[in-house]
Amino acid sequence: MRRTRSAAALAAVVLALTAACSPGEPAASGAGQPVSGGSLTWAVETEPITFNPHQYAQAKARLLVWNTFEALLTHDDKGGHLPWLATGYETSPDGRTYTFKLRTDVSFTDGTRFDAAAVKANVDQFAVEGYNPTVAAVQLRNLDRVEVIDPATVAFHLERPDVLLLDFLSSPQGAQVSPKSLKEAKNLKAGGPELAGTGPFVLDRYTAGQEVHFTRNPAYQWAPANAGHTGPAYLDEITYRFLKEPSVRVGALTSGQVQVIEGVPATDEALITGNDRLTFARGLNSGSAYSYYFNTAHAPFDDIRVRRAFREAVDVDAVLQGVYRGSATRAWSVIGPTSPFYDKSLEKTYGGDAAEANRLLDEAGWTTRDADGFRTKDGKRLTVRLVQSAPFVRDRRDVLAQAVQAAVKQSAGIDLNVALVDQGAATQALADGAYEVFDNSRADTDAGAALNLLLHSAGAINRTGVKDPELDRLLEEGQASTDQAARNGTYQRVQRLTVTDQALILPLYAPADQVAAAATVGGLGFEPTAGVPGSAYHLWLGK
Amino acid sequence: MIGAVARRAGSGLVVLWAAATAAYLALLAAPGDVVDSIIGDGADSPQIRAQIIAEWHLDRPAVVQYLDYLWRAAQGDLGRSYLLQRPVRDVIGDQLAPTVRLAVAAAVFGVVLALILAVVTRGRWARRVSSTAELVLVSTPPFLIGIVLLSVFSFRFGMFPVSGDRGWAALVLPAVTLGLPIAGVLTQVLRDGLDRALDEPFAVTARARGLTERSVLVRHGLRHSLLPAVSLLGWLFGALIGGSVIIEQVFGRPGLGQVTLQAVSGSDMPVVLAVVVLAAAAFVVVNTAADLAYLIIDPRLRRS
Amino acid sequence: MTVAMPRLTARRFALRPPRPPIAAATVVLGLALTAVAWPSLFAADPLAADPLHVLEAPSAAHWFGTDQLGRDVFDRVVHGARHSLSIGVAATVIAVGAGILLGLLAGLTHRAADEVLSRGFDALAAFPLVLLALLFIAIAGTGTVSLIVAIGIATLPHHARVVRAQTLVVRQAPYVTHAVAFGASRTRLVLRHVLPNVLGPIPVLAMIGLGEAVLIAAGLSFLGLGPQPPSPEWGAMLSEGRGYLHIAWWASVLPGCAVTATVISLTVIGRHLQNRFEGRHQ
Repeated sequence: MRRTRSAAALAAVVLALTAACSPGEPAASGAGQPVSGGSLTWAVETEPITFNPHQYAQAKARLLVWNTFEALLTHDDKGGHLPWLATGYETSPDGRTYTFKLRTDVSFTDGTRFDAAAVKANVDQFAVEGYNPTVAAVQLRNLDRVEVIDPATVAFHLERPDVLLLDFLSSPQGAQVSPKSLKEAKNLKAGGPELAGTGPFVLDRYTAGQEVHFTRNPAYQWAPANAGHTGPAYLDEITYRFLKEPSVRVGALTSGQVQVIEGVPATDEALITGNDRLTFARGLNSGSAYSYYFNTAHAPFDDIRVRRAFREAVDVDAVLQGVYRGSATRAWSVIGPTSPFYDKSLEKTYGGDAAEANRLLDEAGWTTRDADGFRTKDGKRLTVRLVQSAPFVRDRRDVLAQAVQAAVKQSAGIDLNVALVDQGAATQALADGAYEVFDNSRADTDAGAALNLLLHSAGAINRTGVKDPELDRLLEEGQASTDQAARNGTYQRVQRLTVTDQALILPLYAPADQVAAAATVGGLGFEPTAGVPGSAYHLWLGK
Repeated sequence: MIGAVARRAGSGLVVLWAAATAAYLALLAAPGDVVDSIIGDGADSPQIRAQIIAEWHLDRPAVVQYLDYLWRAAQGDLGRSYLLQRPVRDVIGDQLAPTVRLAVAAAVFGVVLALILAVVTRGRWARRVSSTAELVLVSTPPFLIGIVLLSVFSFRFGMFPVSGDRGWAALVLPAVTLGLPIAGVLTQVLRDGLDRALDEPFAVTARARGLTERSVLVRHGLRHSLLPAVSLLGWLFGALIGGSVIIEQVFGRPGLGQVTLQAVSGSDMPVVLAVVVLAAAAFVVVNTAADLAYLIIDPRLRRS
Repeated sequence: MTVAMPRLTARRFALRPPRPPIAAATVVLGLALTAVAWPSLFAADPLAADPLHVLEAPSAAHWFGTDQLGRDVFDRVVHGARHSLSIGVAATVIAVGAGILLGLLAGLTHRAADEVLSRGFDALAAFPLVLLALLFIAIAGTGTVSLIVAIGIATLPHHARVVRAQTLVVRQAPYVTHAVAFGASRTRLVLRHVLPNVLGPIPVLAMIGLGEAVLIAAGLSFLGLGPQPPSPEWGAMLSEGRGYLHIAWWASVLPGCAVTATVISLTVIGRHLQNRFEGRHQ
């Protein structure tokens, strides 16, 4: 395979470079000008199930990843890519080779140099059996091999064109871990202090169930152009405490035990916005909306009428109002409203019609009712099971599930059975097909990556059980094309097909992150495109 | 005296052996495959299964398995948690300190409060008020006490941290929550003991010697009322251990209680077994200590 | 919870509650029993959610306010009585039933068997109740039935010990030794003489034991090991409402008060009966 210079791709990178000035836009605060030094405590909702970026699976853990690890590319605020550990890339005309020029001044915090061999070691690690089969089978599906051309140049050879490679190389899973750690770490998959990265902080202490502590990396000099500043981070150290209970996080902030919290429940927002010593900001996440996916593999959701009935039985606006006090943005499509692919024409086309729900269920044969008021057919109750995995429950999604449960019971006599279990039990239930509803949202920066996982017949989390050649073809088309307009059209057809035509999905809300902080904290903001809270690199403590 | 100690230690070992055996039998009696029970909700792969079979000697006769389990437990090897992918000893070792801190603080608070209440509330009305309070305390679920304290002192007045285990301030509310019901029980026992002691001939003699009522109470009465209280040490220990499971959950504190709860809901049997055996061991130590304390407090028992 | 009265001392150091509390306790218990038998007499559907009226403070419309899903907390507390109390009663029945069997067995059989059983009771009785229940749940899995059996097993040794002690007393009693001398059969002896005399203190013990069982059940449900949402179980309600404590105390504190009132009533009446019972026998 010969590398061919592509002037267009080079131009795109230069353009992106100049377009992006300061996407990590700091929220207005009383912290004044940035100052160096100090230590900060931040209470987060989710304790990561792993600190190895390659194993990353929780959007809520993303803000921790970028403290210690960095990727070849990062995002601007319009969904495009910016150089980070790479200085630029070129695409061959056939779209099957991506050649990256790397920075030569970067080293991992364990002293190892960052170079083309390190990049290859990271990508090759996914080929190790059982390391992360999902990424190997999905994000790296089209990868043929990685070639080290010289220490500052690395080429990715693909079997077929795949524009999502760039998204992978700017995602946490594409982050660069020291090759030495990859070889020597005893608990590689769990990550932690023994994994070295190139980031502005070093993870030096982790107490399970309690907190994780980072110290500044004094040698750090390679922030991306849109970081807002250069050189080492402002803060000397930062501690993230894991406080699962929302009320506990808010209490910890208002009583001054922590300076920043994320995941502010809607019921507590007024408490924060009404206090002028605190600041509050919200960012909508990228990727897929938080939705219920119907398992069409068996009854009752193999019948489209029952799927439609379930959607009509929920007045999503009322439910969101009750649980989130009007602070949640309703989702109408499987794709979140901030994505360029979002199909606005789906809005207000379905849902919230109890009479229609009952009509559909009658038509589908669920005509009788049992003593508890639930619909039955042939003596079997209309029960559907939702299994929630505790480490992935955020934003009071367990309470939301109970609200939906009450709604479908009251308006249509559907028995939604909600079980909140730990990860192992949830994985087991999903593997056994012992569920009818699957709940998920993904904060992928390119929504196409999320849809590949969720809707493609070979997708790792295709929980609808749908195998539709047309859908697969559209998804593959969206993945191969570099033309943004063509991708928009393709993904709109995907949305129409899955949301309207087949009613596979009940979209609920667009996931958002809320950050509240003491007014003395400066530099708080959200990661461009992803919309999740940014890393600690931008933060400072005002006097 | 030495004979008494040796006898106690011997029966302690028997209790310990019984607890370890019962826990082991419980594991075998659990429905389903033993390997499944040991894995719980942890990662499952043929390698891990092979490792479990090797580690627990499941391919050998039952007697060998059992003896080997006892032998390893005696050496402090408590197996491996397949849910957490770590040796059980590490899992428990990491979380022991916060629970011990909580238990000690709660015990000290409860005992001191009980002593003060028993001595101070001698009058008719004080006694009535105090015993009503005790009744309420022993009947209230400890998590309700914790939630009310949190609500008032953390959320309303911001005096103490809402959760966690950072510094002494974070220990105050959990220790009070755990200590209050203990004080409720101990006060009743101590007061009853005092009432009896003050009716005894020696109290009458002491008064006749011209000692004030208060010094009779403190010097003689208290000593006597301690006897029944000491017999409650084992109960106290159980209350602390059992209570800490709930208190740690209410206050979001790390500790053995959280480990146990996670292990129970994730069916992490090696950790559950270890906690049971560990609690039994601690229980034996405490009860032996209580018996020895008995001998020290009551000289009459030494002679027999 | 384990922090109920230590078992032996509950007998030895029983308080003598004055009359007014007994009357109050009887009323509370009466209310609780009515709620168990006929919850719809007082309360509407405990599962009816109203997303437009969540976390509202107590008012004329909602006496105990509403919870995070807009459900009426009062309705839930009333319906919760059935869940919480029936778990307690079922567990106590298991504990008492098995306790009588094992206690008789220990008291009537060979000395070696008695020794083994009694040692077992002693060890179990001294072991933290919550840990015993947790061990059982770890093996049998979570769920209401498993919760009931767990509490039953954990509280069983206490009853077994009392029955055994009582059996030994009865066995030494002159009328029994006479019956033996006159050649009464073993079964007949147990049924006619030992059992009736042994059972005397059981109702009183069961009453106090019930309070303890209700407390442990609420504690384990609070930990998420009992009935699952949306069941209106008191401990589970408290646990769910905890996240809203700072803005809606009623959703967690009021169900907690229901537990407390019930347990206090059971304890007061139990001790009262105990005093009368012991008075009669002294």
